[in-house]
Amino acid sequence: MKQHEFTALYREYSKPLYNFIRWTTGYSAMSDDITQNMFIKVLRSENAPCDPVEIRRWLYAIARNACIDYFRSNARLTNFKNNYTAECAVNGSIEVDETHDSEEIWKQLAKLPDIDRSILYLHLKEGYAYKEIADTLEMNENQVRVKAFRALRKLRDEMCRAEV
Amino acid sequence: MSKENSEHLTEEQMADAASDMLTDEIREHLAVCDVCAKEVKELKSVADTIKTLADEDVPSSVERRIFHALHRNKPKIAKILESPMLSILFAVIIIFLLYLIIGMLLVDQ
Repeated sequence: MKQHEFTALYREYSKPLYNFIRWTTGYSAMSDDITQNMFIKVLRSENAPCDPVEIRRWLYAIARNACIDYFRSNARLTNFKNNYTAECAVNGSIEVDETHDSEEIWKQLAKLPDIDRSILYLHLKEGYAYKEIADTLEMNENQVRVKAFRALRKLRDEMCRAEV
Repeated sequence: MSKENSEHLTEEQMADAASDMLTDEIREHLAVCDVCAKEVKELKSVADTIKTLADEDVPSSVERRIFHALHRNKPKIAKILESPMLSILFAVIIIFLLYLIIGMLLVDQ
């Protein structure tokens, strides 16, 4: 990739990609290394797409793969325990506070599988449609919808639990 | 919103509803089903909170390392041209050539 192309791309995407990696990994120190390695990979690539939509998808796919590689190399792929039970969601007696504590949200986000955090980040923070997320993460669109719903429901339930 | 529907929204429809992607079918269902309406309201509340979470800037140390790599990735010719020793050598050659040209012109006269 030519230098000026890389610089323009870095200016536009470095912050969202860094935050995407932070969300996916849940570890700040890891995010730094992965972001660095990911951009170096982008810099050295010779087949970057030209279309802006394609390039965005391509970058997030590289970022996601860089996270997976990092997890694999550190054998941390399934390090988050999932304590989810569905009862709280069904129980109509628990009210969700309208103004959740962001610290509590971060804590609960860390308990989600990394793929769920990736989906939530792309959808809620970057405004990706489910179709775009499915294409980026090479998943089925309905699968993405279901994961997003379950992740939100799990967060809601965990926060209900924390409030009780 | 007092009537409760026996068939609730699917998980996919719930995901759409929590993102304000309401089809007529979803809207009509939410108007008559308290259970789904409550669920959607709560999920939207969580989604709205997530949207407000602060993003972080890329740490300057990471940026430095990336741009260091960018510099190392320059074509060899660009690196050579940026070398200070080479700039001095070019300057010397140009001065020498000017000296020769001026010398030749003076000899001709």
